[in-house]
Amino acid sequence: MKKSKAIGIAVLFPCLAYAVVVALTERVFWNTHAPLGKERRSALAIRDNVSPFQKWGSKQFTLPYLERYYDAAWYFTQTHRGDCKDAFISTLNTALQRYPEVDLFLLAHSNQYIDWVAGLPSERRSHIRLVYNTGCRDLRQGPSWVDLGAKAYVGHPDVSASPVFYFFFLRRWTRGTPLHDAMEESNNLMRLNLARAEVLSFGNVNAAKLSRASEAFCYGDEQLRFQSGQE
Amino acid sequence: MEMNNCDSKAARNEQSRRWYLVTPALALLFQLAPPLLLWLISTAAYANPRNLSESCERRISILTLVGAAGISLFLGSVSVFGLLIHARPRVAALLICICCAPALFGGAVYLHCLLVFLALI
Repeated sequence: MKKSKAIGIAVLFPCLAYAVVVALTERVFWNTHAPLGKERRSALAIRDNVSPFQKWGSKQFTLPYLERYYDAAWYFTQTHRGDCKDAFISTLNTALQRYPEVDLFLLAHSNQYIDWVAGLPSERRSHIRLVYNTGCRDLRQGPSWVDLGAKAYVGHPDVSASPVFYFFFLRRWTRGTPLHDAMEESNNLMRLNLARAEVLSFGNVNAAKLSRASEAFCYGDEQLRFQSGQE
Repeated sequence: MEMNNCDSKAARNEQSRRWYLVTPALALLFQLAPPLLLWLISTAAYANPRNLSESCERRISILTLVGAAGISLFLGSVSVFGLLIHARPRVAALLICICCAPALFGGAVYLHCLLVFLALI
């Protein structure tokens, strides 16, 4: 084979491989500018005590988005149940005092962080905007979070594959996709990936059942937008 | 004596000409390194007490992904080039499928991870 042709193929193959990976996983967002009103937004995320690799992955994925699209962001990783309570509450209190829109990302198995937040003054809690909870069966907390003052609450109804949903959801929500659309798109992509997992696992994963259990739902204002002042 | 010199030169030349068979194997073997390194980073970062500071955790993770993506894609591409130029078509096709494709896909995955983790795409 001619050298020039071989060079062409050797350059084309990595590009093809990248295109396949993008097509099979997650699309590229070309517009990555922070939506308007960044100075009004802050976010807190908390990860429960899971394996070191899960803790590492959650943080490496989440924190850059929070830091880029919110004026202030705080990330907590628990080393045991109940860990970080004081730091989390005190930081949330400060964030609610300083920012009119505070989003919470509860990256934890079935949890009761709602009890921590309930202790804050109601006037402060009214600054809570979106609460996203990865916890299995924690969708049922939705009405309580809305009663506490959250504008919207997104959760999962049963034992779920919430990390798959969260991966797509965070990227869409922070890039300005309205809550309802971000949720729909992420649910669809999660279903697609679970169907692929069923094929790759030779049927060991029951995609239909897991999708039903994992489908995210929203309580509160589904029309919420990431851009400040456009709820 | 001269004959011996010629023989060893020829052998060395033959060996150096065989690099195109070594790089695909290296490309494939290298795929074991990134998962292991990332697991080591996570274990060090979330040991109790931490063995890796928070600022180091981020920097080392990103550097590991850069290295993993760069080396995988480089070795994969160089191997494809070498095989296409030097190997017989059947051998080239076989080694590209078995060794180069996993390395290239691995590299693409690490590159995509890197760009997603940096919130650049």
